[in-house]
Amino acid sequence: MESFLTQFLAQGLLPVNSITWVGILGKWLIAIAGILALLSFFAALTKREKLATWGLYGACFAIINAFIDLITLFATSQFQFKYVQKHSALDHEMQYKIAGTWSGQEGSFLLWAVGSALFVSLALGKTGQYKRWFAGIASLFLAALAGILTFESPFVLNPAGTDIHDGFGLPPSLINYWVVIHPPTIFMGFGCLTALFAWSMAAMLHRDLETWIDQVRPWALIGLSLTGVGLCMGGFWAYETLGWGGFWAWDPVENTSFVPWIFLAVFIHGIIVQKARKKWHLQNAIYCALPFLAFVYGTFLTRSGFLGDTSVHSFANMDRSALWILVALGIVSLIGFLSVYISTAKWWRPQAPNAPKAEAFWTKETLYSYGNWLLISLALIASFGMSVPLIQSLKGEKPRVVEESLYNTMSALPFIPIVAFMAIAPFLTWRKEGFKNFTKYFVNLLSATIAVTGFTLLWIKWGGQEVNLGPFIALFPGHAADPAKTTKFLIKAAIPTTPWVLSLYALCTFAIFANLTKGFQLFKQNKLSAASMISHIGVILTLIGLIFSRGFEQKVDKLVIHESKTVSAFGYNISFEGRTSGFGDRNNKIKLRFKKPGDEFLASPGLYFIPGQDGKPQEFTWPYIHSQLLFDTYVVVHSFAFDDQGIPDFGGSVPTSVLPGQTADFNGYLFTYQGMKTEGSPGTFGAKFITTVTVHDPKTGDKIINPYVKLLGPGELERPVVEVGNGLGVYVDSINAADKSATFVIKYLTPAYPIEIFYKPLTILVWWGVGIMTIGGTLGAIYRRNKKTRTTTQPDATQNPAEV
Amino acid sequence: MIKANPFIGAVAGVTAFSAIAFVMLSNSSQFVTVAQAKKLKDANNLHLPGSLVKDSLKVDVNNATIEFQLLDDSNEKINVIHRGLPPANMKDATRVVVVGGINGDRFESNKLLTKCPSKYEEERRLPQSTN
Repeated sequence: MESFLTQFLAQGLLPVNSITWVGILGKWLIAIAGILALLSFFAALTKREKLATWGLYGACFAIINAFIDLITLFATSQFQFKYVQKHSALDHEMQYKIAGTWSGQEGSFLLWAVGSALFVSLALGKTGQYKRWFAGIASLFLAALAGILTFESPFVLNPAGTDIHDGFGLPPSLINYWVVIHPPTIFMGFGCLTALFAWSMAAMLHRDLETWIDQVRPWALIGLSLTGVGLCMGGFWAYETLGWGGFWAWDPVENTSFVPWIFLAVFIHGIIVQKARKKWHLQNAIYCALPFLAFVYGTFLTRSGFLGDTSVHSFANMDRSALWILVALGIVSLIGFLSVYISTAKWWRPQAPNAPKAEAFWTKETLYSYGNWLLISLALIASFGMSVPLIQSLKGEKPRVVEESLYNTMSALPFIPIVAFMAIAPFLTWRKEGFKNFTKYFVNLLSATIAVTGFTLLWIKWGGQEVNLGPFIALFPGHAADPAKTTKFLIKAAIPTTPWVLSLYALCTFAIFANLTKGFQLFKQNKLSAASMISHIGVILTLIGLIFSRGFEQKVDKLVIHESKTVSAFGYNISFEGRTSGFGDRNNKIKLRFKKPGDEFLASPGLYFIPGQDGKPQEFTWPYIHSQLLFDTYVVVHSFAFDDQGIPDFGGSVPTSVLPGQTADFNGYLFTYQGMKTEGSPGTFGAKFITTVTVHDPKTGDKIINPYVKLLGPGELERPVVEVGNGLGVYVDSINAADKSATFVIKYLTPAYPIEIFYKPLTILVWWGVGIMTIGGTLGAIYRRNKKTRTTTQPDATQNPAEV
Repeated sequence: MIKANPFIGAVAGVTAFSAIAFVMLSNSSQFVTVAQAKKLKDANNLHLPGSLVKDSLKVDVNNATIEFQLLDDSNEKINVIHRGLPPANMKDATRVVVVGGINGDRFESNKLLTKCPSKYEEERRLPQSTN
């Protein structure tokens, strides 16, 4: 601590330029935020509500201003600050300079603090009688984050006198619009979790488990929407930019966001039950706190270094002191929560309202209860999976990792009943009315599902084919599924993919029709009360997109494209049309023309190079995604090879031996070896073997060339490459004087690119689903907020089944 | 009427959690060294972490395969053949994890994970054209 203070004070005395003071101010603001937050916490403990409130507002104000300071440093390229130097560069466009703010460990902690500060300061005025405790709990969290930011400070100056004109810049793979919008969105969601945790604790400490539910409801919906949209943005980033080719891989970083989102969904359903049935008061206090606790745990796991090689993400080593504060935050939050919960439970049980028991299994209450347990089990699967490396490490054993396929298998178990419940629950009531509302619609829903699934089955069977259907000839878009493809099921077994994915698809389709039907009914009663059905439809559509595109994805690789060569994949003829710029240009694209009857487009995947750490070219690629209504064509171009000196080797044919009069075919070019003449004495240095080759170019006709091989010395040959046009050349690899045969190698003289093409059906549903989910969540938040302002007493949902 | 029994609920919860934990732990994939991989000849889902030996990467673009040498944490080298093209950041990767199994004296990989430095510490240089 002493060395920190010495350093802190010393940096304050450094000579400053016109803007260095902004960074120094930022550092002081973090310290002030910490002090004010602690003040607020102790004020809350000593029942001084006003001081606790203003202390929290002050801490939030200081943190937000520290963040503005950091953005200012990035926007004005203040490389005298270490963090700015590491995460920005002069040539970055302004949006990427600003995105550098949250691209490193220190900045992402500050973004978490800012998200929390924004939400707790906005929510504070709505907390009513819980204000003092809410302020106290939120302040304690902000104090911990200020402590972390003191040791993981983005405001550390480079040593005085260091001459820095430019920064290292963002890693090239991060330079994309998603880095600008994804982290702020998801961290705002994480900030909302802080407010929810504080609310839950405040409700228990204030000994009022009724009133807070109405207050917290819109905030929980906002948190659900923000984390959900943030999660999906991360998925789109992985799909579109990083060349991972998929939305979701169950990586610990993804799980750290996914688990809180699931717990938020659990809480939202818990609120509904509490409002309708006057029960679950204690459970809801847990459900409301779980998203925050899960996120703190995930943050610890991903930043502590326990994951090692088991995650594709890299994590800079966290400062030990900061890590201990994070550990303390987690432990204090958990133990504090459990202590308060136990004492609250003792107080609550004797006076809990005599809530009615569930009247039957097929009631909303029972399905919400089982649904929540299923959701919790899904969260536990993700949590436990990402904890395996930690468990192994604590056992002192070599790490193990849970593979994506195991996550998929395990998560399918709760997933199937969850979707089934999502289909059935909207039709049930809180009363013992059984299935009658559901059965009324069941036949129609089932018929619609069978029809849609049937059409889908025809599509995946005949995709890309013209099919004679009686009087019609139908051209099915896309590409037929591979009937031999199998999927892992129940850990070890492999089952055919098509029936498995189609079964899940049918279940999801049924759930969509069910929610559409119920949504229309609710729409008649109150336009906004259909919001939850809209959210369900969004979630299910996203799931269909993920399952379908992954299950029926197909890939064609081992394709090399060149100006002399056309290749085929998924019914397209693909030809090379050049590139848009030099290979040093980050915006360079390779132009590939895709053509088939009735469909043509120009794909332009990106490929550029920067000098690698060994000085040789380091490739960076960006996929090109051609989105159509029913499928995406996903095109990735790779780099050609380089030799050990970093000289490009574009490849070509294998050595091919031919006798005089024989012809070799390469990319449609016909090379006919006519014969060979010798200059000098064979077997002596200086001897030259000159071949005559007729090259038939399919576009321009025939030409004659004379590649030769000359003996220069022991093991030393002269074998020049003779150009034949269209980026092709040929040289003589060796000759056989006995039978006059010659071995030729045909070389690409201009870049030849390996390409991979993926066919991904129904990925568009992921986009649609996320959009619809967001609309549903937003409408729900507005609805709950407006309803609260209209009336102070909630209607009893047992009297009004639509009131969910 | 449904009557919830907290004891049965707790037992069911603990059993479910234990089942999840057991299945996930026992079916998780093992991280190994080269020596351990050589002993597990029939396994095909081993995770072998290490670093890429400098200048050992050879790319066969026509067959979409790459070959390289991997140096594990016990400083033992092994030849790796990977069915697929190299990820974009392969050469700058600080760590490589190959997933697969031993075939003969080499490791055949069907999945390749790379980890790159999160921060570019070296001086920035101007991109050079490789036209």
